[in-house]
Amino acid sequence: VVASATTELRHVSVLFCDLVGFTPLAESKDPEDVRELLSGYFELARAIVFRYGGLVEKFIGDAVMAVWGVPVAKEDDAERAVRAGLELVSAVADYGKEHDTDLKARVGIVTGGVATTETPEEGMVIGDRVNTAARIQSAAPPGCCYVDETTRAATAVAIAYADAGKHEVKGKAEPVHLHQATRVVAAIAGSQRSGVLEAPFSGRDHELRLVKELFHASAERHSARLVLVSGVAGVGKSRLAWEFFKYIDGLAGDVLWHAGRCLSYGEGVSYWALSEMVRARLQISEEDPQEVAAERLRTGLERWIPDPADREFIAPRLGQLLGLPTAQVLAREELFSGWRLFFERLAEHEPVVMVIEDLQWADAGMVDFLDHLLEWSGDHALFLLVLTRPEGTEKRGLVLSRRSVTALPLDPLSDEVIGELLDGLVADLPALARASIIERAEGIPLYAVETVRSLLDKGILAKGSDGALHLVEELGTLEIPPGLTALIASRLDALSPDERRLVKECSVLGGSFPRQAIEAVTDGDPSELDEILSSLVRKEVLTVRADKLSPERGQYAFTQSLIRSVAYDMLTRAERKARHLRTAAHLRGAFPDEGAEVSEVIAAHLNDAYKVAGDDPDAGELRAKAKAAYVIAAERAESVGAPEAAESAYLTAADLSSDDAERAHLTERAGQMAQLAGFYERALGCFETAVAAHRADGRGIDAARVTTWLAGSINSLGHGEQAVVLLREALASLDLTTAPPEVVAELQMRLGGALYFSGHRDEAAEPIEQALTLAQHYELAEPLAGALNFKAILFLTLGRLEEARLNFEGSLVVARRHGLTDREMIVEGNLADLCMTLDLPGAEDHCEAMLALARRGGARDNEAFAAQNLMYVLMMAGRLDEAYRLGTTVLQSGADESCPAISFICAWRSWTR
Amino acid sequence: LRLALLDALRGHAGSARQHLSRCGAWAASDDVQSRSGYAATESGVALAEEDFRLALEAALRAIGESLRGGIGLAHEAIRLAFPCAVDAAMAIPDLDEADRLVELLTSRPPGEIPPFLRAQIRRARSLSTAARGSDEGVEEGLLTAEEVFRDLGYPYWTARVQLDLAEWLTAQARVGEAVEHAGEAAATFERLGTQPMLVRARALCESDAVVAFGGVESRGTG
Repeated sequence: VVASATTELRHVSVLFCDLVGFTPLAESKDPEDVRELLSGYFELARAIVFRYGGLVEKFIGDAVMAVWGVPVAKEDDAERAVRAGLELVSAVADYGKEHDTDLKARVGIVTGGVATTETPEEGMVIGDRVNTAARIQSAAPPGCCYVDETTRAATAVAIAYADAGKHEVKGKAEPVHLHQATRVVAAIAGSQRSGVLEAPFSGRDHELRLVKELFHASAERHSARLVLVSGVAGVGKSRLAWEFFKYIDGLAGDVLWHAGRCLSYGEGVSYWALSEMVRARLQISEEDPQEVAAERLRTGLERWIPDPADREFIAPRLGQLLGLPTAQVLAREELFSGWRLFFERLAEHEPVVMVIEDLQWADAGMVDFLDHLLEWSGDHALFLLVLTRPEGTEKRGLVLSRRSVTALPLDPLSDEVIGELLDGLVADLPALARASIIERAEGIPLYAVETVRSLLDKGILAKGSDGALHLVEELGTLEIPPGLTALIASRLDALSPDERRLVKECSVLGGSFPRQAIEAVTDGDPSELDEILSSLVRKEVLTVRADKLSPERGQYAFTQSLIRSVAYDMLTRAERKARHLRTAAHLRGAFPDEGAEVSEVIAAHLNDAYKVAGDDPDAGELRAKAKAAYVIAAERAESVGAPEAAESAYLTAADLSSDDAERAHLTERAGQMAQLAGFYERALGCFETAVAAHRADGRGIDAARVTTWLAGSINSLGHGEQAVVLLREALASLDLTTAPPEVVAELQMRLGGALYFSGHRDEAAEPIEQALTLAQHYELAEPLAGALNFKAILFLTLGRLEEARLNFEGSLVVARRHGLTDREMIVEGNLADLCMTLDLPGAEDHCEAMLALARRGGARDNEAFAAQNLMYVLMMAGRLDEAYRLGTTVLQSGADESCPAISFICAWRSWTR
Repeated sequence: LRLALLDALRGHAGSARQHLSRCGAWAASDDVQSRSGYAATESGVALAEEDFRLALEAALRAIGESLRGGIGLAHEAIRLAFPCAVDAAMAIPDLDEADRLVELLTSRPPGEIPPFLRAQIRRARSLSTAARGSDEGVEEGLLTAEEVFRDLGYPYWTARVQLDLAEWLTAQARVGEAVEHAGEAAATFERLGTQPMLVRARALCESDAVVAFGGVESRGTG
């Protein structure tokens, strides 16, 4: 049965693309090479047309015809066709370079009504416009994309055009007015079009293409990829991200885009960039009250996470990130696993892009999370574009040697490219001035842009009717300060006094800020505020965030972070103090729960106010407030699993404290955070300081309590003997009849462990028994579970295997009853080991239980331990293939060659924990 | 290390050595468990390389470290190292060393010795006795070990002892009894992909004595 063709008139955009001069090229090359070259070109064209939602209608020789609007029309068909056209000419040129061939494409696009038919043998689209598109393409110079007037009118909000004049087109009575598409200047349908001066995107085509290709590879192969774009201020990192955003937004398929910045203020709010991205996805604004944020979290998760069990797991972990009240404070690995699962589930809907700006200011936790994501979510379509100044590439925690990380350093541009950029900005810049700017720019495009902005500020340049900038006054001798900082300072000097004052005031607020914050810090007349802000936006000192998904939508931001730092340096001491205090007060009021989520920022503002207070009468009060704020900040960082940030905040609080006991306590807390983060040397330093301070002031019990931690650090550093000495001294210093039982039980339990580890197995039993007695008498869960575990290990080494098993099981019961997850995981591992080595049933179940706990909690070392035990069980059971697969998986998930070995060592050691 | 062991069992000696070399730092670790674990695996790899003296030396190192370090007989380093040491001692041959190894373990209280090691001790005694030309208790020891390994659900070791028994029975001219054990062992080694032992089992199945008897396949045990 042959279906009859149905023909209808539809509104479509038709694209024609052909290769210029391909015929002579084909004659000079080997036919096999020509076939391969052409085949690659067709693949490239097909992929680009597909990505932009078009259909390849046919290939004719070296020409490609594609159409948008069939079988289903979309409102942005014309725009996607032009985006595809621009991408085609750029991609073909790069494709030619890759094959040592000067290959250029030209593109013609028309939009309008055409007859379409569904019979494939006739093609889908026929009519005059198809012929016109082919002829417009013939009129385009090599490497250019020409469009007709209808296409231009439909797409001008998002595409920049140059007038290409009128052309005689065969079959048309009148010459046709054509336009050359030059670049994409906005997201789809013109949204987020930048109001600020946008220079042509010059000299970074290769980098942008690499980013696009890596993104598509990540999306198509379902693999995680991090691209680390690094370069000095003004070199074009943010611009690259903006071009990438416009590209992604123009694609036909959906991509889940997320962007977040690391804050420069203070030492960075823990996970701020991550929290920004999560808020945007769940449509939670910074100012939303907690109940609103909680409701949006719930509905957002219902939308994105189909499995109720996943939602139940993710919700409290995201809640903790967003500063919502949670029933239980979760450890960092627990949080990481929930956050990771959230992005993994998103990636199961559509490919996920995460753009993180200013990594150089990131807190250690944020960097660790990025690494965690790469390590654990390698088989998900997660594309991370991370922008940083060069110092950010040295951040601890980010493993640049990972196969899934691509470093993309941006070097300064050549003088030639800076010249092109200037020419694209100003139509008629005198040669001398042009050369002078190029020389001073030293390859930094922002310098050229800022110079042009300063000329605009001075009224020397103005926008003409053609949309380009032109000289409207005599340029005279162009005096350009050397260096970007001096250039920006001279621009600020040229502002009106009111404008300059407001810029300086805003500089205290950070990189971006809402209008209410500006009101809070300014001394100016509120009624004039909008006018001054408008002027500063016009002069491109400030910009207004327009991203509809961002929780910062509508906020003001400095167009360049350097403007903020230059303006801040202009503030006097008194001005700084007043503004910092006002900002802290504003933040407390603006954010829920007294600004808990931004507590690090509030603390930093108060501290900065204190630092410049000098001998002011309120200096002492400021110091106390700053200290209290740092304690809140530390507790918040601890609650979101950022122990390094918490350690830093506790130490700052300790420095600010004027009370000796409190200082020792805060130093101890800092040590605990360092220990948690695995920085044993730093932890050791803190605990030693705290113990010495407690002892000096006669707080013997506190000194003994901190000694349990100190011994833990020493043990972790492999000095068990020294730990034994310290713990014995601490016990000896206490009156055991009056000392708090929890302190004594903990000391005894630790002493038992330290004795065992340092080879004094026979002496270990006594303190373990003491710990057990006290722990049971006073219902102390942690020393009870810990001591039962150690006792089991002792029995094991004595060959009293049944008692070992019973004690492990007892420890497991206590750990489960009291939610001691870490202890539970370790004991599951020890029980697995016991069953395995004693040939008892249950080894596999215990291995699986430990593996599940380790994976849920993101405990990589314990995962390796569980996996290697499971491998042994499988080997013995004759399931060698399964064992091999498991081992290979663990090996592949390692960061580098040394990782499996390290995991293994940790695994062996944790057997005896 | 686990992958090294798996590769060694399957006869991929090069790959096994490569995995082992990644963990080279363990050999000189301060941690007795790390040192003994490395040495036990090294012994298994050396066996796959047919470097029996190194295999014996590494296994003795693993056992010595474990016992001196007080980590107990139940530790897996000993479970891995003991059978390696026995195989190496029999291959060299160094029967005195094999006897010393058995003595070392049996001098411990029986409650400290898990079933797997008890079966390995029975196997080691039988092999040593047979190598000295005596038959006393050999068959019984191997049959007991086979039964224990089978009960524990350890097919590789069940097949190993079946092969040991088949080889001994063949030497005793009891080919009819040997073929069943040899055929079952070969089938297990084939299923597990443990090539070196499969080659040894097949060699027995294809030996003149077995072929003359009618071969393994004709008995339907392959």
